[in-house]
This record gives sequence, structure tokens and C-alpha cells, in this order.
Amino acid sequence: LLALADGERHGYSIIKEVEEATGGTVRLLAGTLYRLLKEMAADGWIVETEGDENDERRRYYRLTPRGRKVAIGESERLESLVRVARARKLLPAGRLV
Amino acid sequence: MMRGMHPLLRAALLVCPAEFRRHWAGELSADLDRRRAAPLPLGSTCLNIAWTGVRLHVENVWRDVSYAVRILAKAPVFVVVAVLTITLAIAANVTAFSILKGILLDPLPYAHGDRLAFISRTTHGADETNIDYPDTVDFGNRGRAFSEIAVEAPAHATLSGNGGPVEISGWYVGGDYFRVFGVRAELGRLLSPSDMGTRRIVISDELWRQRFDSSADVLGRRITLSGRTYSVAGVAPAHLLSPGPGFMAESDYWIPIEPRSANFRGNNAFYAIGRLRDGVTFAQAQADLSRIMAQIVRKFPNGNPQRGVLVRPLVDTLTAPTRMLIVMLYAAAILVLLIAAANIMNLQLVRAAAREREIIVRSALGATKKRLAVQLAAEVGLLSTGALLAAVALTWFCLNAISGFFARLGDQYGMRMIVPGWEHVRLNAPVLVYAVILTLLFTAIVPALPAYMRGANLAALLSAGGRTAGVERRAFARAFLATCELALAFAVVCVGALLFQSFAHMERTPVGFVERNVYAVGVDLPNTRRYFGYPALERFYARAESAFREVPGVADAAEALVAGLGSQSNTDYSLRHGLGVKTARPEAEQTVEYNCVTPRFFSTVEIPLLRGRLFAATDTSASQPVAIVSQSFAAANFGGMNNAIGKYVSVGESTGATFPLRRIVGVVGDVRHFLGDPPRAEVYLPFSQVTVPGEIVVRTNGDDPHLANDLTAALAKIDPTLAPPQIVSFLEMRSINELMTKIGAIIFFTLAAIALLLALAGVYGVVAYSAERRTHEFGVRISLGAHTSTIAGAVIREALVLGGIGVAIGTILAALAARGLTQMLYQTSPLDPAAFIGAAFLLALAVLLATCVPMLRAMRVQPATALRYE
Repeated sequence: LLALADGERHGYSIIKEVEEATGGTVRLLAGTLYRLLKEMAADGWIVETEGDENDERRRYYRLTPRGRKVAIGESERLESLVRVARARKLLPAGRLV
Repeated sequence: MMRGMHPLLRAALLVCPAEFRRHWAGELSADLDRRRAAPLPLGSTCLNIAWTGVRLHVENVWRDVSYAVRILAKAPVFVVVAVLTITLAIAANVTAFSILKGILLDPLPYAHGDRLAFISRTTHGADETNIDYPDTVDFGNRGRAFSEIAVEAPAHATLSGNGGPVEISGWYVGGDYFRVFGVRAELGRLLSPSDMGTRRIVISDELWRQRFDSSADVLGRRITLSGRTYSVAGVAPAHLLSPGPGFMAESDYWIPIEPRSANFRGNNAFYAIGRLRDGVTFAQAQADLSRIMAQIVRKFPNGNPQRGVLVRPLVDTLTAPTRMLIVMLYAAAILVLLIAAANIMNLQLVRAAAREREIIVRSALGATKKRLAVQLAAEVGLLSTGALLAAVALTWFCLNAISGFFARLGDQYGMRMIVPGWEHVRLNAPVLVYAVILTLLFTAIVPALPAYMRGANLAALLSAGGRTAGVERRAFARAFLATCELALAFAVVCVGALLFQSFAHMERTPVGFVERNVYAVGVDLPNTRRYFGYPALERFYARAESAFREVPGVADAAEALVAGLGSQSNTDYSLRHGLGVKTARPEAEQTVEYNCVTPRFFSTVEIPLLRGRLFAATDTSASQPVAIVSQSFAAANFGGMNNAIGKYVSVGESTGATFPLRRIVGVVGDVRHFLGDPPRAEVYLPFSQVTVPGEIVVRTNGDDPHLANDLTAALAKIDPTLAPPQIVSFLEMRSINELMTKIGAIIFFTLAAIALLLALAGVYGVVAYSAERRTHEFGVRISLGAHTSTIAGAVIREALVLGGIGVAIGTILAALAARGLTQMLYQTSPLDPAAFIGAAFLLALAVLLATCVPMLRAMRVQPATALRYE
């Protein structure tokens, strides 16, 4: 979801984006991702767009307002978890994730 | 879309559901395109896609199943009816299959059992089952077809020592006996040709455990059987069954055939089972033995010139009494299964109608026809799985009940014969596989029709709000299914009625003697001097007869060689028309039933004297040999009863030995030895002239619970060393005799009941649904003044049309089935009108019963409610 936050993307670019963002530590596998994409589309978090007309094989997705809400909500939940972790001294205070 | 794709990716995508594949194929092939800058790693990606495919499938199934559970939970009545229907159908079918498989399909419990042949003698081409020993020796020596021939004759004896005397049963056997069946001794050795003429014995594993504590030093021990001493050669393997015509018997011992009966040509006391040489067919063996039999007939012209030989697979002989019944049982179970399938389809259609809106909405939302079919399959699959578990439990229960029934029968009558192959009948892996396959079929075929029917134009359905051609088509399909059910049910009920009719005829057939309060008392006499030969035996039986007559409650007692249904002894006979006429060739020579009886036998079992006189005390071993013949014998040989008196007959195993000419002094009524067989020609010989050990027949004045004790005590007074007598009532002998017919009738009765019940449910479904759809119409008619009886008539008419068509088709089906049944019917035509009319009446009753509730409901329709309906 985060990968889609700044615009529409297709599957391959999501994989690459996630790989870059995590410094190569998280590698999404195509099958898993596409399954998730379909589920998220079914739940109405993302929506398929017309996309790039030059590459008709590609399916482009973007966040729906609802998906954005879910992404924000999930981020807040994670943030609060991190806060708890910091309070328990599991993570050094002040360090950005 | 899949073209130009990497084969690994293509394979991985094939694992995935079609929808996923269509959606992502283009994307994935672009991702993996090697021409681009940084393609995804091929191997791990494809593996991941395949794994995703599997997960998606599992999720789909799970979703369908949980959806099905939710749907079914909303319709508990439907679930109960459906599960019950499938359970009954599958249980009936699996039970029938396990019996069919165990008895007819599984191999015999001997090494290469399919190479074993039963060899029997024939007269005029009719099978006599038994054969004489010298013939089998000739078959073995001169024939090329068999490597070994086993010869056996049933034996009974009293085992004394090692505890009190007990009655045991076993076999006289020839030297090759155990080699034919390919069995090895559990201890010591089995009998071989060199043991012939010796007093060696092989005992059963069971006897060894019970009477000899499984001790190894039993070998060489001397044991006493009915006064004769035998030395133990070995112990037979556990559960060794000896085959006979139509039965398998558990036995206690095996001893060599006595030389005096072995060398006696014409003593047809033996069963013969041969092992075919490699490469020899049954037909070749038949030709080989027929050739030898023709030589024997030429060499011994005094014997029965009509005799021949019959070779057939042992398994055919063993299963002959049950084969037809089992095949019919399985066929009927298949019919019940079809009825159940029609019922389930019908139920599904009713539900489809109820769920029309749901299905229309789902179709409109993009659910494919296949998807809907899968959904329905999930529902039926769930029902079937529940039913499968219930059916397996029910089958287990049924098989146990039948086994228990046989076991009780065995205990009750001291019978050790079992239905051949019954030991294979159990709920084993192949039977379970069969049950599962049946269930799968039920899930695959049954939902197909409703889904097909749904192919109707959805838009039309939506716009018309349900009243469309699709609905009409469905109503027709349901009426058609119900008619099929009725037709099939009618066929099963008809066959059941025919068998029942046949059984009733058999029950009513006069046997020619009284059976109520008559008992056959078997006494095993030791082979000692005390009971050897004519005067000793006659003395014993005379004392026993008068001692039994003294027992309180006993009306009469007599001695006979054979007595009661199911027992017989036959021999050859020849006729002479006047004393002193020395014809070289007998004028007629055939097989006849014979019985050796004391004078009071006829009055004891109430066989009427028709002409001449009965035996008297004046008929002794020193006086003129006499005989009494049956009415059939007189009619067949002398053209009537009056001509028979004063004629001469020679009875006995005619080949070789000479037997005296007997003057016929009386003619008595016919008797039957087997229910279902016509009375046979019979000759009675006076016990005083032909003294052979037999049974004492006792008639009492009424039921006497102390009879067995009193008779045993009376016998002990004569000789305390005798084992207690075996007492079997004539009625018990009758019930054994009619057992197969009875079991057949019971089984078909049960199946017919199930079939009727299912058809009843089917008709109910159709009529109830149709009546409900016509609620509106009925309401209008009632408000316009129609009488309730008119409404009831409208409902009933529909049901009767279904019933009428069902009966018409069913009659044709039943007539076809009954043709195959002719063999099993006794004095009942396969088209017996009483059976057909009775079945039609039952079916009509079921149809009316099914109509009752919808009819009453239709009659109570309130016009106001009806108009608001829909």
C-alpha cells in the first residue's frame, strides 16, 4: 500500500520499489504480490487504472480513498507499536524508522 | 495469451485458478522478460506462483464449503431428508457391493483357486453332485486334464477320551486331498496317498487347541473316534475350509477313505475336486473326462447307462445357490441408488426455485455458470460426506447383523457350513474406495442437471419475476424425475412381491409328511463289535425306539435312514416284472430316492398308505425281501398304483454287486426332500432287511421343553458311553431349507421399502411445490365458489398422472427384471398378476400418502392469503 502512496504503479515496479525502500532486505515474490493485489482490489483498497497505453500487458493500480485510509490507519497502528517498543527500551529513542 | 511464454512460467500458471491465470499472465511474462533491464528471478518467482495457485485453490474450496455450510444450516429439513436419502442409498449399495465382491469376485481361499474344478456325475444330463471313488481313480490314471483329484465325503464321529465324549464332524478324504488345495500342515504332516488304508488322522487347528492344549506331542497320539483308534499324523492349518456343493464347511478332522467304500463302484458318496494341469481349460477337462466316462460305461454295462460326468469351476459350484440372489440384490441396490439420485436432483430443483433470486443476483454480479455449479457441488459434496460417514457406519452394522444371523443359525443347528466367500465379506479397503467413488459420483452427476437447467435466459427470469419458461422447464424436469423414481420403485417393489409370492407358495407346499412336533434324533454309534452288523444294530434301534416311546409326551417313534426336509439318499435301481425272470439287461435303470425304515415310520410322520400294506414284524431278514414305493414311483414305472403291487424291484448300487429282487407290497404318498423341488420317485426298504444306521424320528404331543433331557436320559439307560444325541426339529430343518428364499425375500422387502420411501419423498416434493405455486389460482377458484373437493381433486389428479406413468414404465422394467428371475421363482410366473397388482396398489397408496399434506394445505387456502401470495 505504501508503495502506491505516491501514485499509480504496476506490479513489477512495486516489487522494485519495495526492494529499494528496504535496501534489498524485503523481496516480494510475484505470485504473493499479485494475490495480495487481487485481494486488495476485491476489498476496494486499490483500483485498477487505465495506465500506460504503450504497455497494454501491464495492469496499473492506485490507492482508493478508502485504501489511503487503511494505509494511514495501519501506519498509525505500527507507529503506536513502535512507541510502545521505545517506552520499553526495545528501540533507542528518537531514531527514525 | 500463453504463447511465447517461458515453459516454466506456463507450468506454474497452469496450477493457478483460471481467473488468476487470465488476469496476470501478461504481467508476469513481462516481469520475467529477459530482454528488459532487471527481470525477476525466474525459478523462485515461478515456484512462488505455483504455491500461490495451490493456496488460491484451497481458499476457493474453503470458501465454497463454508458458504455451503451457511446455506445448508438455513435449511435443516432439506439437509435431514437429503442426508437420509443418500445414506440409505449408499449403505444399501455398499452392503450389496461388499457381498457381491466377497462372494462372487474374491478368489477362493486356496492357492490358484481358479484352477480348481468340481467333478460330478450326471444322470440324463442332470447333475447329481456326488460321484463314486473308482471313477475318480480312473479320471486320475487315464485322464490328462488334472494333476490331482481330491475326493471327500462328510463324516461324523464321537471323540472320546480327553474329557467327555463329543460329536465332531470331519471328512473321509483321498490321498491327494491336501495337495489339491495346496495347504501345508501347521504341525506334523498332512495325509498323502501312502496313508490310504491306514488309521491316521489329521486334526483341525481348533480341535488341537481345544482338546490337546496346542501341545506338540499330539503327533503320534492315539485318539478314539466312534470306537476306532487313529494315530495323529498332523494338524491342519487354521481356518482351513472344505468345499462342498454350495457350501464351505469348517471341520474337526480328516481321515483316509475306508477301502471297502473306496473300492465300491456305484457308491456315489463322494465329492471330487480336481486341480487342472497348467494350460488345460475347463472345456478340455470336460472332454477328457467325458471320454473316460464313456469307456467306463462300456466296461461296466450293468451300471446306469445314462451316467455322464460334469466338470465346472469350483467357484461356480460353491456360489450356485447364492449367485442369482446376489446379482439381483446388487441390481436392486443400483436402482435404489438411481432413485436416490433422482430424489436429490429433485430436492435441488426445489431449492433452486427457492433460491432463484439469490442465484440470479449472483449470476448478474458475474458468477459464471461453472462457478454456480461448483457452489452446488460443494453443497452436495458436504451432504454426501456426511451421508458417506453415516452410510459406512450403517453398512458396518448391516454386515455385522447378517454375520451375527449366520453365526446364530450355526449355533442353533450345530451347523458348521458357511456361505462360501462370506469370510471375505467385510468393510475392507476396496469396499471403502467403492463407497468414496460412489459419493464422488453423487457430487459430480447430481448437481449437473440443476446447473444445466439454470442455463435458461437469466434476463428473462429477472424481468418476469420467476414465472417464465425456465420455471416451466424445471417443473417438467421435476415431474419427469419423480416419474422415473416411481417407475424404478415400482420395478423393485414388483420383484420383491414376486419373491414374496414365491416364498409364500413354497411355505404352503405340502411336503407329504407332518413336521410340527416331529424331531430327528441322531445317535452316533461307535464302530465297535457291540454295534456292528445286522442283529446288533437292529437290537439297538428296537430298544431305542421303545425307550423313546416311553418318554412322557412322546406320541410315536421310528427309525429311518433319512428324515425331514433337506436330507436325501439316492441310488440306482432296476425293475423286474416277475420273480424268476432273468433279463440280462434291466428294463429301466435310473436313480431313485431310497429310505430304510422301521414299520412305524409311516405312522410317525403320517405318510399315508394308498395301496397294499405297510411293513410288518413278519418282514424279517429271513422272509421274502419287500419294498414299499411312492405314488410317483408307481406312476412313473407301472402307470399307476394298482399295477405296482406284486411287481419286483432291485434297489442298490447296481454296478458289480448283486442285490435281491424285492416284491412291492405297498404304495404310499409322495414326499418332498427339498422345498421347491417336485417329489421324487422313492423306494422304502424295511430296516429289518437292510439294516443301516440312521436317525430315530420322534413325534410328540406338543412342545416339551424337557424333551432333549428326557431322550438323552433314555439313551443313557441303554448305553451310558454314547454321546448325547443331536436333536433337530423338522421345522428347523424346513427353515434351513428355505433359508435362501427367505433371505432373498427379506432383502428385497427392505430394498422395496427404501425405494418406496424415496419415491414417496420425490412425489411429495413435486406435488407440494406445484400446489404451492398454484396457491394463487386455488385462492381465486375458492373465492369464486369452487368446492374444496374440486381443489383436492386438482392436486390428486396431478399425483395420479405421475403415478400412472410411473407404473406403466415400471411394469415394463419389472417384466424385464422378472425374466432374469424365473430361476428363483417357485410356482410363480414372472408376470404373476397378483404380485404386479399388489405392487401397483402399494405404489398408489404411497402416492396418495405423499399427496395428503399438500392436498389438505390446498383445501385450506384462504382466498385473501392467496391473493396476497407472491
